Amino acid sequence: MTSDAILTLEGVFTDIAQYHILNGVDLSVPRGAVTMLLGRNGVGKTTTLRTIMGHWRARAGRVVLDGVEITRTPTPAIARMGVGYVPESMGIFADLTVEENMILAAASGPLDPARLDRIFATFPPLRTFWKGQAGTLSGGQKQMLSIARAMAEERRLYLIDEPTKGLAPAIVATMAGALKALKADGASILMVEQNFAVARALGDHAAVMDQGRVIWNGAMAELAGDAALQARLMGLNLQPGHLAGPVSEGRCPSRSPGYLETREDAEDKAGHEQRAHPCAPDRAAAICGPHRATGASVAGACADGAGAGADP
Amino acid sequence: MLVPALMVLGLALIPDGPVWLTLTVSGLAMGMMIFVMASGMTLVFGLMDVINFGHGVFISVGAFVGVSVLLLLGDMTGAPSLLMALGAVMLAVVAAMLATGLLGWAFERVIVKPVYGAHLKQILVTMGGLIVVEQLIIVIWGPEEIYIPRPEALKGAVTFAGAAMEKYRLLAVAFGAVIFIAMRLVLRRTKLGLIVRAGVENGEMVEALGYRLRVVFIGVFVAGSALAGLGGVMWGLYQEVITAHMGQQIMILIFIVVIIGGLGSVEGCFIGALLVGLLQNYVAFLEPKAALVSNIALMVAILMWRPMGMIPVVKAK
Repeated sequence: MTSDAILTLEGVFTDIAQYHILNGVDLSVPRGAVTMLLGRNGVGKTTTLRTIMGHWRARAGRVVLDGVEITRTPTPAIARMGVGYVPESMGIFADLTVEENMILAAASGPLDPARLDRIFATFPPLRTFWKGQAGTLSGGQKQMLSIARAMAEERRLYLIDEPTKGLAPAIVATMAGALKALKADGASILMVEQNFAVARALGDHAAVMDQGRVIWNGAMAELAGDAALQARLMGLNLQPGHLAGPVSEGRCPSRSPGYLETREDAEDKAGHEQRAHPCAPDRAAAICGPHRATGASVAGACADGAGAGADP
Repeated sequence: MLVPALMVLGLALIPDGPVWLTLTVSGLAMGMMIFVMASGMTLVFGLMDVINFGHGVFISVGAFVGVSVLLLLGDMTGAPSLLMALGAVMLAVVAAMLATGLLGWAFERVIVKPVYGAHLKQILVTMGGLIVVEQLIIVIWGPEEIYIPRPEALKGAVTFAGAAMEKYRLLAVAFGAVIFIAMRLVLRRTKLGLIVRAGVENGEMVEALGYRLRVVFIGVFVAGSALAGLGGVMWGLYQEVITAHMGQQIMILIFIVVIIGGLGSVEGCFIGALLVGLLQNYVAFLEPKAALVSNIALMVAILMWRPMGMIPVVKAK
């Protein structure tokens, strides 16, 4: 996997104030593939992306992008090396219009019309609200804009942090479809994703983190096919009765595959989280079947051997 | 709508039309000058979260440099030609802006840069910088206040609809309006303006898109300092007297304008400055003793209505 890696992290330690968040992260992101960074809440996934992006400086270790060490490189220089970043908070500029957000995203020159057409094809609402203030968009549309901004220029690597977080089920499918399109173009993507159904559908490789380090690294298929491994690494309860068969078998689970957190985690967060729990029937339906309200297929997340794929 | 509303309220309270017009022009002129001085400060705060209590020093330095140039150009300022007078003022403005822009660059490098992210230190250090530069003004120009007569062609007033309006105040209104429009065009129509506006909202994301925000910030700091210098020349000619402490004295008004406008918002700063200028003039006419507290009362009223100011840009951070 390291032979044609576009990004490698070697023993990366990152502290935030007095807290040691990353404790020796070793990670290799293969070129032209989608690598999923998985793990429970608070294990350092977002910090890993922010460290790569230069928002937080590594105390020790190396970050190497395409053979060039970027551990101490300023964030703007990393971005100009072709790293597109979609933060967990989406980071859209609410006071600017959608158009202005996109103009800014094309840092090296004017927006390419052909590329823009492709973005509009992927995210039609952005064309509709092109002149509108980004702050007035819905949550899903803001996420579309955030991903579209990363797609505004040719990128060597995409760092995407929880693109489906807090989104309505139908929008999750749209996001998954857009990411599939990026993947089909041969983009190299490192993505944090809590929704295991989406992660399984999109990922080629997976790296599982715990306590600030990568504890497992391998093919997504291997992880997706091994319930015991998932339970051991991520605390997912995959026992019969809790989950039906994997989405990759084309069946919808009676309960969704779940976010990467224990039931205790979920209970602790109950009442604090606004996002729909993935076990909710409408969410499972959105990932794996027709939308309840419209009956339309929203199976983008489950395509390609991951369920009732609508895409070829 | 607040500015026209205040003007209508002023007209209701001051039924004498010519007096109201004179006060309105005077208030607008004052507001425009305050806007020019305050606009740089609000952008600096919005863009890099820097509270620069030393901003007033650029006003003082600008005034002293500008006045020195005007004193050197006695032949031009003494001529009755309006063109010659405007030429002299423009030369003074350019010199003041160059000097304060350069000072702003040094101020950012030496005083502000080491205290990024530490508000308390920023307040203390920038106030220290203000004191040091004020003392340097006293060393160079002396401790006495300097009286500066306006150029001959800008003295006097024009009469319109029975109202006497000072020529200089009309010039200040025009100058302020041009600067506001120019700033708006730069902020709305250029990529640099987009970067600045986006940076005020979410600087980290601007950097993640590949823009060196620190460089942009230095540019904004220098431009803001230069604008303060320009405002200093205008304010000096408005008051016809300058002192080393003039910048510090007007900082209270600038803070009020920046706060009620909404931190980081140029448009809010513009509206706030006009409100402050108009209110001060109306109240000074109606109830002179209340003029001292009128702007504080305005700030309290607006903050009770909108705690983040009229156009709060920075809240999105």
